[in-house]
Amino acid sequence: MACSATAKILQPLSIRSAEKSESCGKMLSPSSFLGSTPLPKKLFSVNKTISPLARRSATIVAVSSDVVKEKKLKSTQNLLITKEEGLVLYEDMYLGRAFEDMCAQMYYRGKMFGFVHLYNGQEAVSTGFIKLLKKEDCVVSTYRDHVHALSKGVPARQVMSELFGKNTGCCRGQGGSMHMFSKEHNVLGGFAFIGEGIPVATGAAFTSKYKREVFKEDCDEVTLAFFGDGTCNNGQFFECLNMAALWKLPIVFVVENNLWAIGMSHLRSTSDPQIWKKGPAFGMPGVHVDGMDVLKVREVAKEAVSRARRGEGPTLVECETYRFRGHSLADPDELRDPAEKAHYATRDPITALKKYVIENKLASEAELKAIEKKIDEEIEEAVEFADESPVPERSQLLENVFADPKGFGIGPDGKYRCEDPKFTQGTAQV
Amino acid sequence: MDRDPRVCVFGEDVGHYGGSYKVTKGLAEKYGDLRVLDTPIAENSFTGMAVGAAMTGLRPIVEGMNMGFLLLAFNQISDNCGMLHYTSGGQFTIPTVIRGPGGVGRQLGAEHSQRLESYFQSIPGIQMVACSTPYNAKGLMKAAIRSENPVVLFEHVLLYNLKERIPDEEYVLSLEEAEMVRPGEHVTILTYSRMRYHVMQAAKTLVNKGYDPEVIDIRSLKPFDLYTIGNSIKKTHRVLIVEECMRTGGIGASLTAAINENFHDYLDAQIVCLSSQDVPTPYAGTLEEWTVVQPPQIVAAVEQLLQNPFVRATPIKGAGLGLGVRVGQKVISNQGGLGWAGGGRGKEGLGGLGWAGGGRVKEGLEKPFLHTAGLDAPHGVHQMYIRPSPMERASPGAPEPRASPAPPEPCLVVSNGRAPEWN
Repeated sequence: MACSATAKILQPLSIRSAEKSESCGKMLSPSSFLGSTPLPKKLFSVNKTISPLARRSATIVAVSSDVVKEKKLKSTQNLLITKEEGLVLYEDMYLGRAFEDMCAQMYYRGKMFGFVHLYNGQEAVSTGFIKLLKKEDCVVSTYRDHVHALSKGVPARQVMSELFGKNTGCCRGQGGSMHMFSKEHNVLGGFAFIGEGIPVATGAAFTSKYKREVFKEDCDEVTLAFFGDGTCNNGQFFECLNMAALWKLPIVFVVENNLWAIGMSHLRSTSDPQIWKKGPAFGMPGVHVDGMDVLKVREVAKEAVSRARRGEGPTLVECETYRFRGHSLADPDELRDPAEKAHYATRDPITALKKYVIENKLASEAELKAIEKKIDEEIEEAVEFADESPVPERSQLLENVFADPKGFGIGPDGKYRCEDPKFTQGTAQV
Repeated sequence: MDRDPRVCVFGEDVGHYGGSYKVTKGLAEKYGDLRVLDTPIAENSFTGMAVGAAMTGLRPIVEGMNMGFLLLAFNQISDNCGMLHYTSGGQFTIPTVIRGPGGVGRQLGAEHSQRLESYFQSIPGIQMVACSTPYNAKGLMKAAIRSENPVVLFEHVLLYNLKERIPDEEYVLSLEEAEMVRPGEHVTILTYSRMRYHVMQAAKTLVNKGYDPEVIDIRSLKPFDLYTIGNSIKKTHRVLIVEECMRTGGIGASLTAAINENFHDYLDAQIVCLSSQDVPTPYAGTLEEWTVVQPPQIVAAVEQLLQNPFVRATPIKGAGLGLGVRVGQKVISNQGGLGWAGGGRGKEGLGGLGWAGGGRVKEGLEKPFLHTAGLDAPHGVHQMYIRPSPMERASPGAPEPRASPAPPEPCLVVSNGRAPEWN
């Protein structure tokens, strides 16, 4: 940890935080961490022309808390995770990867249709952040939401049967790939339009603050909003950054910057591609982290989440990551440079964590293999469950449109339309 | 807000300022800045915030400072408010109320005079209500807050000054029912919001002229209360819809379709719909008056409806000024239908009636053939002039019409594609 001014970056509303961040060196020395390429130690410069491969020439903003910094200085043997944590992280990432691969298989076999957006390669972000949350904390995502739901605890069989459109899915088959919701696990969706979920996440964070201040409950629930680099050019992003910082809402804005918005490169669409810088403009810390490394993400996440829990307000975290597959299963993925894809393939977060765990003797190869086998079986079982589940019946058509079905109104015969027996059969004209 | 601590208000200037029309005056002092939240000017985002808060347990009320501003929040209202209950499989409810002043005011200009009822009406999953009096405003607002469904409550800029004695105690009105304003026998007039007052003013004139209109304030714009409306139609057999919405795709258009589908057999005349012109509301006072329906137009429309059993609301194909037909001349076309050619401009003061309600309003409108039909015609018997079908006309010696009097004067017969022939 090179920079002594590191701790300052997390003071809220400091106008000078942006300048300080520019002068900081790299976050953690690459040798202790896996998969990351050593970055040039130059100071950040605004007017650089950035080519697709060389765009990461800015320094990473350092982000760790004092506690971690001291631990590192004490002993290089000190690891960031325990064995149990390591296995949990590995299992979660492997579940995400195996699930998405199975989704692709099922799609090409015609078991699911429509738009399916896979998360391969970005597992470190989901695992790194969501595994720190409690059950009451909320997660809001975009259409690339299968793995966020899985990490939060939604059973794989429910997600798979939702994708198959069966009524045992988490949304009874009514949502689909892009709308994963779970009241039990506080997954607030799953939104098809980008940027649409950010205000919803802000609202959930507002409820948390409301509970603390109006209900006087002891509430420290945090909300995480996940979205991509394309969303960071959308008005709703900026409006919510403003409101969250203004009211110090307990929310963390996590940008999964995978450089591509379908076929639009982030560099072609954004005047200033450094998204983390947009945080300090609104008065919150902006942090950039290597999103292919789950341990780095986890460190940043710990700090951001505990900042929100303490009531100090929001944080903007930009995770540099990459998706190995196309934007969706319908995307031919022709625009991306194969060299870029190969480069990121070497930084696969799962292989990296595996290497770290084995090298630091946290677990053996056999234990990891056992985990993989268990996950594979779980996915198989999820597919079987989804296959055997029934499709939704006609009677489900009109349910759930309104929470109070009187909203369909009064029919010509004077009775509410929802009292019509054909309503429950799904054949009523409403 | 007293009864339920989960109720909160989001909007621009709702807190310290008390609301642009002082609807939330005094609430921020009483309940605090967090419960009556002054938001920055970000409609889409604070409406989305309300959705997120509603999903996690609160009951927010969103105020659009002017209803037109909620167009910026259309994404959140349509996708999230309306649809999330369904796409989440019923897991999350969105008990929000979205309200605000809309409608045409006093020379506010085009963008501040919008009527959003027509834009929102197709969104599945929301309910729309329009309040018109202090009594129903209180009742509908309470009902909307307590409802588990997302409700859009339309208020009107010009109605905030109304004063009325209303009960102090709590009362909740039904969100799906219409309100009978004035029972009557001759014609059903369906209206909502500010037009209710124009209709009541016209009703005074009509009563003096001997008519007995039944006035219903539909209140629930989506879904329609077809029971109250249906009962009224079964009694009077004639419908006039008076609304402030635009003509195209407005509430009146939907209501016309719904009534035609459900109560066609009970109608003795075509449904007449008076709506605002499809025109951005002009600033100039005179022009603004002509875009909105005024009481004299309502009176004239009722008179016509009650005199003429068959009133066409749309121009006939082939009938047009280009064929040398004088404006105001009666035309029968073998395509079916009786109407008044051209017209669209009426006399001063009645401007802009257009095709709505019969085409033109000129003095000296000759009473057409069956003026006796209508008021005392037994229900279900159509004593109108029944036009001979094209087959019958083509045969030599066109037969007499089946009903009694023949057209009392020569008319121009226009048929498609051929030169007009004098009858």
